[in-house]
Amino acid sequence: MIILVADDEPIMLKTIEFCLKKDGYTVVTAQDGREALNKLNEIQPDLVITDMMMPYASGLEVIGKVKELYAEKIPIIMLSAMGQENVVIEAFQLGADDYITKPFSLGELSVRVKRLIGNLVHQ
Amino acid sequence: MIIGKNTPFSINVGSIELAIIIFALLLVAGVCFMLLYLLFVNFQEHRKSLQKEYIEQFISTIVFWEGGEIAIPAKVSKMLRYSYFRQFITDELLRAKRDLSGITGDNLRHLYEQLALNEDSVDKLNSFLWHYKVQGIHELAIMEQGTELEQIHLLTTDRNEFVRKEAQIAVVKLSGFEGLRFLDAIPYSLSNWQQINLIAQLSGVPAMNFTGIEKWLQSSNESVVVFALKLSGMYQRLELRQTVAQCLVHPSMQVRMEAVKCFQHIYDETTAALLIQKYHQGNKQYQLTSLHVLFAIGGTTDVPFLLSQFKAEDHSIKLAAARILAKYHGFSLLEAFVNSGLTNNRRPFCEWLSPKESQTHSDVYPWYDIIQQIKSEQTT
Repeated sequence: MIILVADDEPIMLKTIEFCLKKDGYTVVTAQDGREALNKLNEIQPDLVITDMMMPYASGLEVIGKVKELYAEKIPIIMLSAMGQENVVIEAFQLGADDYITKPFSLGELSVRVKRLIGNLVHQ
Repeated sequence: MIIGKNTPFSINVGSIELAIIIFALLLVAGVCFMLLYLLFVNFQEHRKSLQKEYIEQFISTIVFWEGGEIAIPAKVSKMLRYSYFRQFITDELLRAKRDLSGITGDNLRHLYEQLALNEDSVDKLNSFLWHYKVQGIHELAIMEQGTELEQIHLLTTDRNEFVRKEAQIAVVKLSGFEGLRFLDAIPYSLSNWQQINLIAQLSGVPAMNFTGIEKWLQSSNESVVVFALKLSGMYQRLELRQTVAQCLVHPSMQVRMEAVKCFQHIYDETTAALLIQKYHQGNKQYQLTSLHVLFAIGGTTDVPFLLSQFKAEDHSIKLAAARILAKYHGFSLLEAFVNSGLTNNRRPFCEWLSPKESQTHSDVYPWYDIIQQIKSEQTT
């Protein structure tokens, strides 16, 4: 299972990468929106975790690209800060599956990833 | 050789050559200095980026630390002697702490304490420079250093606006509603933006039956009363209805208006009558707010009052009153009123409206538009 993680905070990115690798996933990282869009052209992830506010391209653009490139369902988890409710609604309208508000615990992220991956396997 | 000898403008060629040589040497020295400086800056930048990468890696492994004291690499311990490095690692920890909670967030806090970075933050509180104070308060609040609460609390009434604002946010972040006790004796006004910030901080705290709000509602500081009214409404403090009602006759219009808004959340069967009774003691904005609250809380059987608002010059007042009438008494009453004006045949509300003997379309001009707007609002 390949997971694409996009976040412009390096520590956050590394932390999520370690957390997901520990759970046995292959993790591809992107440090900004543009890199995430490029990575989406190179690989087809099984799940995408993206921050909403990133330089060069926002999380919404990343969600749009996933939907544009891949017809099959790729689950998307958004990472949003408090007070970004409007963006979250827009992201859900674009096709995001779940969201986590920062600050969050890695345990919570891990459970949400497992649930979405589990749904994929059952499909 | 001397050119133009015996003239006032004679030039010694030897001195020109010397000047050129000196200029060239200075030029070369300047270029060399710039190159060396650029090399030095590049080296520093490179060193910083290596350190940053190393620290990021270190912190991202620390968040998974389980139990006991965190093992600090010798390289980090050695670098901690330098204040710039201590600030650098503090900034990185703060950035990560804002995004992570739970055990991972706790590990970041443990590391901050273990490296004694909290002592640096406390030192900043005693600085003469206000921006250092603000930085120190911010660091201690993000890193949940509750032990420094009292010291931060003292800064909530600091004469520097930035310091006291940061301190107020910090005490609420560190101790929730208990932190609001600074409102008891705040000599300065709380800006709207600061009130929003405080409410945002409180949104993450479980709403307990916090005390002090009644006292704040009677504060001599107008902004504290406004903030207390916001809290009373948000947390539906029904037992404060009487005290809020007293705010409807407060000398400040802003307080009176906020009291009206507050009643939207703590109303009972007498509230509508109370708002109507106090309706004429405010300006247009106050009256509009009252009508919006009456629309929300209902219980407005006072049709003559609503119809009397149809005579207002301002269309927004007419519209707000018409909304209430349509919502609680149906469109038929509203349409009957309009028809009475147009046709002049039936005038069921003449006694309230005192219409002219022969009404024209211009007399009832906004009403069709108002009805259409209310209808479209209801369908959407």
